Amino acid sequence: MSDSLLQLNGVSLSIYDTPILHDVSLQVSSGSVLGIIGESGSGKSMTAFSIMQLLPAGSELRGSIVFDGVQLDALDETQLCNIRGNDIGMVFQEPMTALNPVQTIGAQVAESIALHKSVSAKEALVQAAAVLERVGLPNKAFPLSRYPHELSGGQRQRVVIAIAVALEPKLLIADEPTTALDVTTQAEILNLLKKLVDESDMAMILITHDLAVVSEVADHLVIMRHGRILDSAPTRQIFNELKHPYTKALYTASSHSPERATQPDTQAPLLELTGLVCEYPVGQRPIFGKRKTFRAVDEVSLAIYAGESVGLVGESGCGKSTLARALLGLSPVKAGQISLRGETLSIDAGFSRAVRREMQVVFQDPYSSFNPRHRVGRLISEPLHVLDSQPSAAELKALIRSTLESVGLDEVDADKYIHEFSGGQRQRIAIARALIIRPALIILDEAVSALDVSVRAQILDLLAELANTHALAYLFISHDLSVVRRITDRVLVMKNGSIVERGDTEQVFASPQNSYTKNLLAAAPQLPATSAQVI
Amino acid sequence: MLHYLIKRTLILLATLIVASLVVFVTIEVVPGDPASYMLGLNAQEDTVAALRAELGLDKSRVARYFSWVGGLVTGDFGTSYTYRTPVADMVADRMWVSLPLAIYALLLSTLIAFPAGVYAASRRGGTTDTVVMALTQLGVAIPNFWFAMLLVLLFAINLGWFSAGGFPGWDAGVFQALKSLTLPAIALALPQASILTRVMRSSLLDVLNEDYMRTARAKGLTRRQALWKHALRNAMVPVLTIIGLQFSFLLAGAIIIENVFYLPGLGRLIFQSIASRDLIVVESVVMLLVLAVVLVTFLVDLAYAWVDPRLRGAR
Repeated sequence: MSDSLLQLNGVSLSIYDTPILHDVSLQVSSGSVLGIIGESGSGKSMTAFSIMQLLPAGSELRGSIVFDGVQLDALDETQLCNIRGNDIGMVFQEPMTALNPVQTIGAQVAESIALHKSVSAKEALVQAAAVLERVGLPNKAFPLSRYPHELSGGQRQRVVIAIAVALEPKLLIADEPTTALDVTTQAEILNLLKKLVDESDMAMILITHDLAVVSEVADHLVIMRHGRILDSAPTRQIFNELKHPYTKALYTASSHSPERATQPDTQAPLLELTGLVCEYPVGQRPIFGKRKTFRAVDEVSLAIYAGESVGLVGESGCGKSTLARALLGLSPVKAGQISLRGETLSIDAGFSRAVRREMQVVFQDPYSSFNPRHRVGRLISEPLHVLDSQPSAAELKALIRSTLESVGLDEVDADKYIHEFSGGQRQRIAIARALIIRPALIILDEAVSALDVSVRAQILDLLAELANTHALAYLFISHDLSVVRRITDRVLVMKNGSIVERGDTEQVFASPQNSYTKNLLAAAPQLPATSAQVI
Repeated sequence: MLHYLIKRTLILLATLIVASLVVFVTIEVVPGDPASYMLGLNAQEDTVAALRAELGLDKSRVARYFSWVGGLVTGDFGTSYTYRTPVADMVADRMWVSLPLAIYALLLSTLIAFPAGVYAASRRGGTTDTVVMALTQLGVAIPNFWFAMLLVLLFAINLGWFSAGGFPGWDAGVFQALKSLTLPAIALALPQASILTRVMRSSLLDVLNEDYMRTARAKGLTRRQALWKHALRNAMVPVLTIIGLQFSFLLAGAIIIENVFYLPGLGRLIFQSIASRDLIVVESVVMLLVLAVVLVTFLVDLAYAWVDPRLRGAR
C-alpha cells in the first residue's frame, strides 16, 4: 500500500545483543485503527518505542520505518523531537504516573503546544484549555491550575490523551491505555479515542493484551509473540477465522471456563458477616479535633459456605479490598460482626491463630508480595507459624513438596528465589503459600488480574481443581467481570461501600436488576463471536 | 497552605519548649557546682554560698527554669559565670563568625554538588559519572581536619595566598574577613559536597526512570529539556532534606575546623564553656543552636511544600 501513513518494513531490534523484535512489518493508514495484540514480552511496546525512536540505551534497530514519506530511522535527534508530540502522539498504560506530579495539568498540556507552535505562553494555555475541553475535561470543573493528584485515574488518562492530541498529530500510539482503569472508565476512554480518530482523520495504533478491548475499536489486527508478527488481517477476519494456532489459543484462553465440580455445602455458613462497617481517616489532621473519616465499607452482610466460590465485583474505591482486609483481621472494624463456623469472632482483640489458619489470601502482584531474599521453601512455609505444633524438619520437607506439587511446581523449586520464576509461577507459589495450612477459605484479591490470558487460564484451572480436591471456598475479588462469571457460584456487586446486588452468578449476569450492575455489564468489552471451531 | 503553615509553626513552638526543658534538665543533672568550681578547692563555705546567691543558684529549679526561659525570650541570656560579661554579647560575637562560615560552606557545597550530581546522573555509567563517583567517595572518606591541614600547607605555607588561621573581624573589611574564612569553608564543604552530589545523582536517577519522563520525551522534549523542566524539581525533596541537615551540622559541628584555623566560633565557645563549668553559656548556646536547627527544619518544610504540591494538602 502506497497510501499508508506509517510503514514498518523488516524492523528488527536488539538491546545489548538480546534480540527483541524480529522482522516486524506493518502499516497504518490515516483514519484507521491498527490493534497490536500480544502477551507480556511479545515486543508490542518496543514496537511502539521503535516508531517513536525512544529506545533504551544499547538498542540496535534495523529495517526501515517510514512515516508520512520520511525515513524516521535516518533522522537526527532534533528532527525527531519535531515529530514527537507534533506528528506522533503517545498515550501510556499507567495514568497515575504518566504525569509530572509537580506541574499543573494546564502547564503540561500547554508545554507541548508551546514546544511545537510559535505561540505566546498565554496563547498556549488558551489552546490547552480548548484541548482539555475536547477530551472531556470541562474547564469549569477541571481548571488548568489542577495538579494530577487532584484527579482520578480516568481523568488523568484524559490529560495524557490531551497532551498527545494537542497538536492534532497524524498518528496516535496508545499503549495499553485502559488496562489500569475500571470497566466503565475503560469504555469512556475507548469511546473518546474512537471519537478523536473519527473527528480528525488521525491514524491510531492501539496496543493491548485484551482481545475484547481491541475488537471493538480496531480495523486491522496484528498478533505478536516473542517479537514476531504471527498473524495480521482485518479485525473481523481474524476473529472469524482464528487462522493462526496462537490466535486461536489466545481466543480460547480469553474465554476459558474452568471445569468446576464442587457442590457448596449450604447447611451452615462457613463465614458470615453482619452489618460490617469499616472506616478510615482521610485528609490532614486538623489542628484541633479529629480527622475526617471515610466509610469504606458500609453495613455489609454476606455469607460464604464451605466449598463455595463467591465473586465480589465493583470499581476501584468501592471498598472491596478494605472488606477483604477486614475479613483477614488486617483492617480495623468499626461495627458489625464476623463469625466463622457459627462462632462470633472478637473484632477488637485481633483474630486468634485458630481463626487465621482458616483464612488465607492471594494478592494481585505476585512479585512484590514476596520477600525477595527468602527461598521459596521458606516463603510458602511461613503460614505454618499459626499452627500450635510445628512440624518436624522431615514433615516440613514433605509438606513443602506436596504443596508445591499440588500447584504444579516441583520439589526442587523450594530452593530457588522468587525472581527466578515467571509471573504465572509466582502466582502458583502465592497459592501454595495460602494452601499449605489447609485453610477453608482463600481470599483472591485481583489474583489473576496481572497475568497474561494464557497464564490466567491455567491459574483458573488450578484454582478450580484445588477447590475440588480440598473443598476450598473462595472469595474472588476482581474488577474483571468475565473472569468472575466463569469461576464463581454467586456474585456480590459492591458500590460505595454497600452491596447493591447479589445472587447466583448466571442470574445476575443474565438479567441484572440494579442499574449500576447493568452499567457495569454494558461497559465490559465482549469477545466477538467466531465461526471457527473452538475447542 | 495556610493550614500547613499554622501546623508547622505549632510544631516548631512545641519543639522549642520540649528542647528547653531537656537542655535545662540535662544541665541540672551534670555534676559540678559552678560556684565551687569558680572559687577553687580551698574556698570558704560562706563565700561559695554568697556566690551561689549572687548567681541565682539558690532559687528553686522551677523558678530558675522560668527566669532562664523568660530571659531567652527577651534577649537576656544572663551573665557568664567565668567572664562576667553578658552571654548575649559573647554569643553574638561568635555568631558573626559561625553563621557566615556555615553559609559560605553550604553555598560552596551546593554550588559543587548541583552541577556534579546533575552531570553524573545525565551521563550514568560514563567516564564522567565514574570519576565523579570516585571523587565523592574520596571526599566522604577524607577526614576534614586533615584536609584542612593540607589546605594550610599548600595555600598558606607554600603559596602564601591565605593566612594559616585566625579571624581579623568584620571591621577589617568584608574581603579580609571572607578571605580568612575561605580555607575553613572549603575544608567544611568537601565532605558535604560529596554527600550532596551522591544524593543529587541518585535522586535524579530515580526520577529519570519515572513514567512522566517518558511522557516528556514523547511530547518532543530533548533529553536535556526533559531533565531541566521535569526531573530537577521532582528530585529536590531528598536534596533539600540533606541541605537542611548539613546546615545544622555546619553551624555547630565546625568545632574541629574552628580549632585548626583558630577561629572564634560557636563550637569553640561551647567547648571552652563546658571545660570551665560556665553552664549558663552552655545552656544558652545549646538553646540557640536548637532554635537554628528547628528554624532550618521549618524552612525546609516550607521548601518541600513549594516544590511538591501534593504536600500542601487539600485546597
